[in-house]
Amino acid sequence: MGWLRVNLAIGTLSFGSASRIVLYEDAVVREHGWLTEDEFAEVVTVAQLLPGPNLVNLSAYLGYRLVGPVGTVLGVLCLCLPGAVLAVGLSGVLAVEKPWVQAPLRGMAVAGIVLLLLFLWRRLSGLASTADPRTPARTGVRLVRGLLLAGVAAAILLGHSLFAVLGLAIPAALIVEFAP
Amino acid sequence: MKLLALFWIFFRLGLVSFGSVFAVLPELQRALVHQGFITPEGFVQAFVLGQVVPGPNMAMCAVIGWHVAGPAGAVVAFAGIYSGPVAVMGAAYAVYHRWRDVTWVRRLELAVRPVVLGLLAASAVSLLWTAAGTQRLLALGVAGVVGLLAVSTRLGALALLCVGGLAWSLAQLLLG
Repeated sequence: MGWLRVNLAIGTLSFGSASRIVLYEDAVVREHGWLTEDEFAEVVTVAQLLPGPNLVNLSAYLGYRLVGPVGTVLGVLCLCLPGAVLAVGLSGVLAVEKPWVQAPLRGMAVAGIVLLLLFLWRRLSGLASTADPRTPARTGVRLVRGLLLAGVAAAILLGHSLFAVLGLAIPAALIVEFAP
Repeated sequence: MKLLALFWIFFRLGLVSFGSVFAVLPELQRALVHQGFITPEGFVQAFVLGQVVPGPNMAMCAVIGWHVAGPAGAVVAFAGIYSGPVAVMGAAYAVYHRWRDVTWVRRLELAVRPVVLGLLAASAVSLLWTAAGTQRLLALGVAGVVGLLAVSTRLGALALLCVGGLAWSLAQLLLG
């Protein structure tokens, strides 16, 4: 029950993107003491590595670890349903074709995109990391990572299919990282 | 058939949505528009609704599902986008507990990082293009105001979204 309450609280009260990982850390590590700080950091890495929204992955992985499969599914529902129901409700109420509804929605869309760009900007420093936190990556490695980023973005914007782009970019990324 | 097609779009994109739904927005938009499920404008509005509600921004998928096929569509889209990641995490939990070689896992994460960020960048640009429509200068102006406030104040995400909405409305009123 405690696990479901944590998910429901984060699902109903949290806005904004990456900062919500901190909310799980607060609840799981500090409030309930279910995991140690180190164990939690491991879980975050796995959640970010694998496909799926980070927040949902985090909830699912913690769920499997703490309460088993049924609790996991219920936890993810508690996390995701409130927002989904609210969004569907709003979409029914708002007459989106009216100009006075359009204007704020467009402004909000632009603001949301700005938030996305800022999130991206903060993440760029992560391109200089290596597996050892004390040594930053060599300039060559950083350059190749930057080129990979730009190449993926350009390919998608030019209209290539996501699956084709990932099929080329992920093997390339693995070669860059694991080649001697 | 329509529900099945809808489920398939969301399910396969859920499986490659590294980081967040942002990574797959252009592909999601392309697939949905191509099938005639939604217009580009409708897609952007769903994106906004997904942004203003609490919880993961995948909430927009339920809105799109509802728009396409009512309650059943919303359920199908919701199940489609979330079931893949939840199943993958179950498998990951089973495997990872056996090989807890953190360096190796961390290097994998580092390797895919530039790819994930590239997908994010493409999403931002293509969404901005759609949201702006014919009013590109206005869009850039609003983006500038929000960006300035975001870096110079401690306003939260919700407050910044409201600022964006207000700024666009005011500009529209003043400019006619």
